[in-house]
Amino acid sequence: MPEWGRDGGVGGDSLAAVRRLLPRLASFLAALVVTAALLYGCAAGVGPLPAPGPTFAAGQGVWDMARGAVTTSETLRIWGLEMPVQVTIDAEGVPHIQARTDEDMFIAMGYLEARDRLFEMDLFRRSAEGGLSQILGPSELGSDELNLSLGLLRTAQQEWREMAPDSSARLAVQYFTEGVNDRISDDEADGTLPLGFSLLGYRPAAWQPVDSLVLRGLLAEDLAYQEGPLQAALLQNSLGSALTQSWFPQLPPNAQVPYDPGPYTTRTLAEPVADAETALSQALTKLDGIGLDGALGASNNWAVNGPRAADGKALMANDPHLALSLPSIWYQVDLESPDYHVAGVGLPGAPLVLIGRNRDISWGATDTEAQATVYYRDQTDPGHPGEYEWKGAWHQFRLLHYDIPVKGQAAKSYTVRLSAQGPVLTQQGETLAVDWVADSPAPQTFGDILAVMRAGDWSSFTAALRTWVGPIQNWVYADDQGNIGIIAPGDYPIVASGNPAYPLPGDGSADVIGRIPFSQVPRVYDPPDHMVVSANQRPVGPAYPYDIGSTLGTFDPGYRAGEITSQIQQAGPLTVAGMERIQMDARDGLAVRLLPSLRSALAAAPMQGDAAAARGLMASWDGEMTTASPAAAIWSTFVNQYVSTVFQPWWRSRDVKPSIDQVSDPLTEDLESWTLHDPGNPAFTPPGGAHRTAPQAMVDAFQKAVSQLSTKLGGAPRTWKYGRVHSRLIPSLLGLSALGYGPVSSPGDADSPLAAPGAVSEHGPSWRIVVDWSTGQSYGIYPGGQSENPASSDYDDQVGDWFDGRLRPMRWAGSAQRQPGSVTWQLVP
Amino acid sequence: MNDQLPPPAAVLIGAAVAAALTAFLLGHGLWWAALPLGAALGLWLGRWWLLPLAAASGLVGWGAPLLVLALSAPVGGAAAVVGAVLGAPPAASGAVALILTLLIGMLLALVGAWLGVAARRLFRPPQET
Repeated sequence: MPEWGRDGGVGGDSLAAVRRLLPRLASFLAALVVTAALLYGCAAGVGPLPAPGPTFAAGQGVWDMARGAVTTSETLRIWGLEMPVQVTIDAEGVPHIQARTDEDMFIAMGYLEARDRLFEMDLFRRSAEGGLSQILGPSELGSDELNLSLGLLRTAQQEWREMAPDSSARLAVQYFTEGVNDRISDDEADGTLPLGFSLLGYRPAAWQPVDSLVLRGLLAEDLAYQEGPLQAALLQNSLGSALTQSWFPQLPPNAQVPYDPGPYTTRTLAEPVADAETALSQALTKLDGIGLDGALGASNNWAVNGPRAADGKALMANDPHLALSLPSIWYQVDLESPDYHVAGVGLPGAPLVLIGRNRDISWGATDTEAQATVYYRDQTDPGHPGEYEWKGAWHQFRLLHYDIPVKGQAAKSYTVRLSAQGPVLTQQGETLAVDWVADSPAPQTFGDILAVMRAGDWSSFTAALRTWVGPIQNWVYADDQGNIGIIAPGDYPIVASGNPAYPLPGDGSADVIGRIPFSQVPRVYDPPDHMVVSANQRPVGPAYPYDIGSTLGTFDPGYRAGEITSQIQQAGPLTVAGMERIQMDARDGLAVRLLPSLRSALAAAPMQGDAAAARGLMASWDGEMTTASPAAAIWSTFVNQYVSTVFQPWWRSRDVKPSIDQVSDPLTEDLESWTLHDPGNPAFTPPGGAHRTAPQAMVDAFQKAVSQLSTKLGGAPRTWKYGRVHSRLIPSLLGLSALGYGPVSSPGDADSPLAAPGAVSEHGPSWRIVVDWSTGQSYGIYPGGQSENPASSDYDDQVGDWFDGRLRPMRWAGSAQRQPGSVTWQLVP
Repeated sequence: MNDQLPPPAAVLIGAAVAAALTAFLLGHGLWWAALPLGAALGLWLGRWWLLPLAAASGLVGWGAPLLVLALSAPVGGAAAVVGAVLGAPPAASGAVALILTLLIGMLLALVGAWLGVAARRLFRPPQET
């Protein structure tokens, strides 16, 4: 060590010692700094990247997924079980649970779902409960604030409090929760937590019963939260009342195929609901929202019997169209216990089979898309700060305060304001409150589905759904006796006054006062034409005595329903293969209706070059949106151009909001109706422009479409294959393109039974099922795989068959045990 | 501590023990263990030219658990997924993930050893002749 001189100076030897010390000190300090930097970099990560130390730790972190990808026969000790449970995991990764008590079955179900989908389940609950920012950062604050406002968590908490202590639903949720937490403990102990946790650097909290219940709200938000009345108000402001009511009428102007065409009984007094003030479980949204619109939910289901079924019994098919993702929104199970013997799919995180079959009946669902969201203009006054006027008196807004944890930042304080009708939407200019279907606690919901899972005939099936609140669905039904039907129960709001297609006064005069009585909700059972079809079309005819929604933001125009109906009528007696073919039917229902008019208009117009060649291609086209078809590419471009050619001048001249794209369904219905029956409608003539008819507008739109495709794709029209402008993408829930699938060229569009809306479609048949009651066999497929583990062979093993339209047999446990590649788990107490 | 280098066999055994401890502690969630173990090696040996040995102990300490895991689980498949997530081209995605993982283990041990050697040379410099 250096020696310091007595006088405080440094002697010659000391100076030399210091000179020798300095490089060593510098080296040590440099090593210290690099060590600290390396440790910090490995522990904290850089920017959005996860901490590499724990993430890449060999044999841990991301490598856990290798361990979790292996499934072997084994015996597992599960806390909470009363008796041993046998689980057969078949070659597709589908668990077949055989339990001696219902409670044990739900524990095993929770355990298996968590084993395969824990991260997805965690994302679902975080999304619903406003917890995404905590793991994904401030970019998710909008979503968290919206869902806290809409009150999904508040409703679920209230439902849990209100569930009868000994109800089958409460017990199912409770035991399912135990099973999930058993698996979380095992994952923690074995180092097999899913990849998402490693990449995002957090660990899952224990599962709670409300985490399951909150999924109803999440589904309702996806399927039944509507912005139609807000759009209607904006349209009225810019377009004027006359045009708004003419172009967006209460009843659709085009041909419809309702499954319940009547006759109907006279309108009776609505079933009352609880007083709005006490029924609160509300939500708030913002005018510009974040893309929620129930119209996104779309699906097909149908059933045939008698002469339309090859063996004279019943056949049922269903394909719910939802946002596609890897892992899928569905999880497939086969459950067997004293009270249940059911197979099908449910949402990961809920102890339910939402679409499936038991030994006697099968069921499926499409979104009814009836109006279930009512907006109110609350009266406020600067003289009454923090208050609103309701039923002649001033009331304080109820305030709820939340602290939203945000990754990398301080928690964000957020306040939700509630009025008598529901959560307050905005206070920029006016105060809008919203009353929507998942506002009201419905503690009976899980019990309803459990009763469906146990039902044995139409009577017990409909009885199970009698108290169903929402989201309102068209529940299709078929049974082993050859019966078929559809019923759409739920809370269809009936207001005291006014038209709920527009925002209503919030002074109490237009509050929701009841719901359509169960005996009068849309339904059909064993109809004389031996078929029932729902594809989000208006389920009832114009004589139906209740208002269930206008053309804006509610029902589908009916092209898919029309096409399916037509296919069934033409098909002759159907088999499973025939049902499968209809599910894969890529014929555009709108094209089928408009092609004759288009051909006629084009034939009368002088054309040359690409336009003439394109016209030639359309002459022999049958409406099939196949990837190899150039006519399909021309049609898809033409339809958009037709809507735009007719309506864009109006939108521009009157500065109309919302955009045409946001309201294109009713505008397409108008165009279809006018083209076929009113080609001289004044709407075809642009404001201030020369007179124009439907055929002229079609020719204009066609030439624009040809020009657009020529610019985009080049070459001759015969090379403009639809697959060049249309593809499918199945994104990963983690948002990592490497874990997604596609984009790949794909057939179908928004108006074909094989639904694939958009140029790069991320939406479509999320599950296909066909049940054949002549053989008792059922078949299903979904675009994904049972496991969320990307290293597992079950991550995306169903995608190929799904693309090709091949269904896989849905096995019962006995058959699964004989399947090569299946493994058996013994779960013991 | 004296300035004598232990016999080569002892050096090798020391490095092997460090590697084994790294692997063992890694299995218990202590991903940073390679760093203090590298530092201990550095302090003990105190020679710059032995740094590669420390790095090798980190490499082995992180490689061994992967090798063991590969006996019963699809490590290659997992590596391909991780590599793809990192944006590596499909043909090399598995290799990229494996190399990155081993690199972290090696770096931790190497930097730890550097710190150990530097500390030893600061507080107990080699005797000059």
